[in-house]
Amino acid sequence: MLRRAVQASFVLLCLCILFSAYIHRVMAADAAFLKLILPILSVSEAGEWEDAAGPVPPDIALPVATPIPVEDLAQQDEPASDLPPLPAVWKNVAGAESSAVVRQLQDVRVIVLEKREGYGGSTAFLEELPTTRQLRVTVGGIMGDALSDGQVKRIAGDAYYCGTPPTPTPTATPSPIPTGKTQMAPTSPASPTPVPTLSPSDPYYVWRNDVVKAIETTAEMAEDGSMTQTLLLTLDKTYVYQLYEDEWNYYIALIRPKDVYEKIIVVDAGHGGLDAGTISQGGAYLEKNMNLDMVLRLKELLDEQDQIKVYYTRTTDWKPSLRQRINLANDVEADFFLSVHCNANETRALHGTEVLYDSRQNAFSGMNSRRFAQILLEEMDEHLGLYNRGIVAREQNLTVIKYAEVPAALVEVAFMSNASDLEILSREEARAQVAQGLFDAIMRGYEELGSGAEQEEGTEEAMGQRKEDRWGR
Amino acid sequence: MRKIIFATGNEGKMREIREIFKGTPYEVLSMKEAGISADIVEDGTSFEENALIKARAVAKLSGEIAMADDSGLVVDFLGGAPGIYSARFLGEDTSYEIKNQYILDQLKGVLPSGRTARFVCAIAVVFPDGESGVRVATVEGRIADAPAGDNGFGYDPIFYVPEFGLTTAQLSMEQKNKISHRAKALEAVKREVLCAGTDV
Repeated sequence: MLRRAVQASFVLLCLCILFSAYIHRVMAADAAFLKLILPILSVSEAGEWEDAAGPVPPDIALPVATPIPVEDLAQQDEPASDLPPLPAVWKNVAGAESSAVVRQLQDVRVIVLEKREGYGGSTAFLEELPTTRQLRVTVGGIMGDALSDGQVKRIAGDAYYCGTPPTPTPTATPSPIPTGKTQMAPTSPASPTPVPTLSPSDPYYVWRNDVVKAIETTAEMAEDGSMTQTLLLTLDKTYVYQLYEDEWNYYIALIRPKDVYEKIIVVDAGHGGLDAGTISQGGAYLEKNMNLDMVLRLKELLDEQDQIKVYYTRTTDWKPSLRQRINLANDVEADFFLSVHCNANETRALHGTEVLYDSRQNAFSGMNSRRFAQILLEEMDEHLGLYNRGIVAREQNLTVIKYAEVPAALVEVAFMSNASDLEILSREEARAQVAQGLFDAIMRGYEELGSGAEQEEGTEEAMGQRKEDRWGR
Repeated sequence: MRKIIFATGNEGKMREIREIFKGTPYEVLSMKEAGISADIVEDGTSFEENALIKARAVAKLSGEIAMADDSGLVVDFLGGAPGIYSARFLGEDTSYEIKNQYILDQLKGVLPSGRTARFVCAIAVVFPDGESGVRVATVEGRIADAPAGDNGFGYDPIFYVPEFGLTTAQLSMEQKNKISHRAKALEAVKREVLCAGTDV
């Protein structure tokens, strides 16, 4: 009995050593790979688009990543026999168990695009649309049939999915499981923890862990007769995407943003598209444009540094939903969520800056929404110097910050309904000062986050005392 | 069907305007139905100006034909007050009971000939090319000695219509529609829109 136990633990130990050696190699390869693609990745936020009712594709596609061919991967020539056997699911999906890429990706959530006949000279690139949790995959130079959704396979753990997932039924009514290639069951039984609203008899049940929620395909034929295929994939959340390829497949690794970037913030320009926000007296200024202008000025400052990864909910005139804005911050596990707005009130005399946060405060130690709001207000006071209206606790009635799982605050820069505030807002120099104030606040936020020190409260009492603002009124 | 976006969040007004545009080649949508959202600061000096400000903003935002209204009660003895501030008179959240009582108190002892007043409604239409028009219609009446009737809202209980010998809050729906300042202004604007439509 004892001997068997010793034997078993020895085998286990060997496996552990093998596994950690393997993980180490993967990490090293990943780091090198990231260095290669990160500069390309960072241009991708520009991939937003004008929108009326729902997301529509932008007219220009920006490449975020081009595939790394198999020969560039270091461990290619290592004998496969040293490695643990591939999970069975990979044999089904990739059909290429000895590929170095597959070896590297086998523990990662992956979307696999099968190369069929005529894909030999094809090229692929990715474009991320983080606000809508979408990823656009463009495969060009296909000398054959266009891609079908059946070629889009997903591996998550020991389950795999293929084709377009069904739309989840809102009520869990039993109905027969549809057959056909669009419904391919996972290779293993479903996980024992069901989503509460979804019954195992629901046809969507087996799909609930699928990372892909919708697939839209479009194909275009080039003059040389080759096809360019575009796949618009809607995912369960926003990831960092890495594209690999081998002889048989393209592989899109879905990486948790926090595993790639140490510091992440989400900046939101309020309103947009058909949602104008406040329209000033006479219609000269629209809040959506004011907000975007200040955010783009902030972006210029943030572009200068490479310590912090910044996701923007929008950089053009379109309207993400409130949930999309805050979901982005939650998806990427942002350190801060900052929403930029302008204020308005029927009482035209009201003026000045205030910062809103949700009363729950997302009470993390050291840094929380309340503290972040306070820092923002102090920096706005310092840089813009309008009348200081203080920080305002909202009782879970402001969607964009209510659902925040990260420190979140909404800056109301000034009142567009107040003639004098509006006059200041209309000056470029003032909006540049706002951007600088927001930038400094973000930096201070990170300083405090880094030091981890509990901040003293009470500065609030001193604030709001200013009766005259810097603009001489 | 061409779209007209009517800048209001008031369902009652939407029903009224839809009724009037029934049978025309125009479909009238509320801002919400059109997916438009805007908080328009309108500090014009007249009903006409305020209606135009709203319609212009919505037309610019949506690229569609936009209409907007601005209405209120003008009391001559009070120098035209509450006028364009009718909704905001004595504060936005103040009840109309208090607003009405305040007006009655101000006019205490004033003879019927000095109590003249009118409901004014301005309706503006702005076309995507920037062309615009505005029509104003009124209902003439007097401020009653005391509030009466509960068929209405706002200033209705203190607005006496000599033609019927009743306050607007005592009128039946049918009677009210017959003299409605909004209906009159809408009819005028509808003619304008239909005329503009023939040019296209």
